[in-house]
Amino acid sequence: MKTQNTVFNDIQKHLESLEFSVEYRNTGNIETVGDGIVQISGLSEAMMGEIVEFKDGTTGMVINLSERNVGAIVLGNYLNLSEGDEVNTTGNIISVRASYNLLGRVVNPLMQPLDGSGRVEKSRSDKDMPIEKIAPGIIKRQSVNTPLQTGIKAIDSMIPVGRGQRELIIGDRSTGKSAVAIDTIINQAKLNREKKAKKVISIYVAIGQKQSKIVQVVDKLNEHGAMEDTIIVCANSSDSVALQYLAPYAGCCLGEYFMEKGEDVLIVYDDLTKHAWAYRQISLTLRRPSGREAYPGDIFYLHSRLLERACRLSDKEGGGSLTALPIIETQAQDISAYIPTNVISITDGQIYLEPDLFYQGIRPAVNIGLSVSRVGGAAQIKAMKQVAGKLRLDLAQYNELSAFAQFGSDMDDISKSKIERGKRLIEILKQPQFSPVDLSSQIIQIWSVTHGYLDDVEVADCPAKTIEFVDVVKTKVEKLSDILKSKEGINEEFEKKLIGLAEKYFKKN
Amino acid sequence: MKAKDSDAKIIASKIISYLQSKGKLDLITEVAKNLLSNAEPKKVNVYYAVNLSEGQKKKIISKFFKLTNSDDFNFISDKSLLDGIIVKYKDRTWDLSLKNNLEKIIQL
Repeated sequence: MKTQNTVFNDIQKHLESLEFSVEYRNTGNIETVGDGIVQISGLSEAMMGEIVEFKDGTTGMVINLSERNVGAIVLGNYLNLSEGDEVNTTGNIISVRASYNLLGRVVNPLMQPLDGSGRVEKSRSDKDMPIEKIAPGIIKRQSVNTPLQTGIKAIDSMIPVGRGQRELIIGDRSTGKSAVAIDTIINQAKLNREKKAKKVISIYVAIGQKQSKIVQVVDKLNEHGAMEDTIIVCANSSDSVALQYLAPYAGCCLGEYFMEKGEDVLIVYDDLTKHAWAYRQISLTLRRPSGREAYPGDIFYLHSRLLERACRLSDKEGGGSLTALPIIETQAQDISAYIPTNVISITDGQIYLEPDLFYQGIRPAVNIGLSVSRVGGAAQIKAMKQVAGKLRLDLAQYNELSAFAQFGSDMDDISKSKIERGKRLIEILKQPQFSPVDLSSQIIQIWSVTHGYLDDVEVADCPAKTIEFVDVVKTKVEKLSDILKSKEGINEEFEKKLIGLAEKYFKKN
Repeated sequence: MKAKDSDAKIIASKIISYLQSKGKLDLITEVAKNLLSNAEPKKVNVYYAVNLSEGQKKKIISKFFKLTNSDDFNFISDKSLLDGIIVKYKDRTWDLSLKNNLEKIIQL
């Protein structure tokens, strides 16, 4: 316990050690204020992305430099600002303080907590990460070679996602886009609890969403014990466009911080359509020339520079990875609109969710024909490749034949059997929300359908039968997970065992 | 106001005809920029709280002449600074005031 005297002595020492210094400032004055955007005269030394300080302590970020004035977005309440107010440069480029203490927290893009759990504790490992950063170059990267399990059968088997990949989730409103992303986060938390597993940190960036939706997401993540490995960065629809514009970059900074420490990170941008809207609003208020759909000319670069930061670092750089799952909302299933085509071309594949499938009860409503993973195949484990190799083809054949069968024409036995097999495949790939399936179960379930063991089972009974069969295999085969994850995959010996178990089980039942 | 406008129009047309006569009309933008930059105020404002001696004033002028290249100094009293000075030239400010230093201590 310090006595009063020691406290005074400490203060005196502190004051004696202080040096009165000269502070240099580059100053300007507000010309116009509107919709969170200010035009400032002066500030001849302002830098792009620099933080500027207004008279009332509010800060802003320089976003436009021109000969006559400087454009800035206000990172706070702009209602107190008025024409003629003094503005000072700070010499600091906008950055956010990344920290392990942010795990489990809900913060805004400036890392200010929104969850009512107090301040984010400081620690020695904290680091200021610049919001705008050039993506790692070729030398620093390695190719995607490790799978990131989403726990969703349709995705892990046919559209696999690898660590460091950018996989777009695209679809109309209310087709389950966010659900796919949330399920993936929940699955990471589930896998993190396994022994020997390399932890995956999840970051969920909510852009322009309703606050009620964020509350639901937090509740669901808490319910499934996933919040402790997750950070939620949110700029709601009621927040300024400046914060909505910054949110994905701020989230990406956090991801990079963990990635540089050798961690595997999953980041969800929900959604980039609203991000593009926010940027369009900023650009129009700044009077930048508008192009197609009134978006500015650099709308492609807005998303490409963000998504290019997702990568898998080489072992020399720590081997960390940043996997990005951007979400895009389409209007009336138009994936050839401006922003969707931009993001499709930037990412390494897309998961297309179709409303028709959704309303038919096929959930997740993944359209296999339009969905693709360009690099994930390299990251898929051998056992999954072995069982899922034919899956896409079988489903494509089913879709074609079932469309033909609608005309009521007679079909040959082979076609009929393909349709029956397809029905069972689709039934097996259906999955309720918030119930990720482990890899071993996925492989066994798909194997049992593709090998025809469910051909004699009623379609509606297929899911229950396969789950029971998985339990049988798990009790009869020791170290099932190790076998399936081995480089050999499903070898002859294991397949014989599996066939034996399947024949015994499906004959009996 | 109208008289001012018509004067300005006459001067502008004279400049244009001069440049035309010299065959250098393409320099018009550069000339306009030069005119604007020359017209900008080049006054250095020095704000102080406690009266400055002539010696102190001379010292300030010699120091800030090197930084601003301007010899047009204007000394203005501002008691809110408590002590020290603030020097302003165009959009540049050097803050050596006690007020600013105390604010920094409060922030610590």
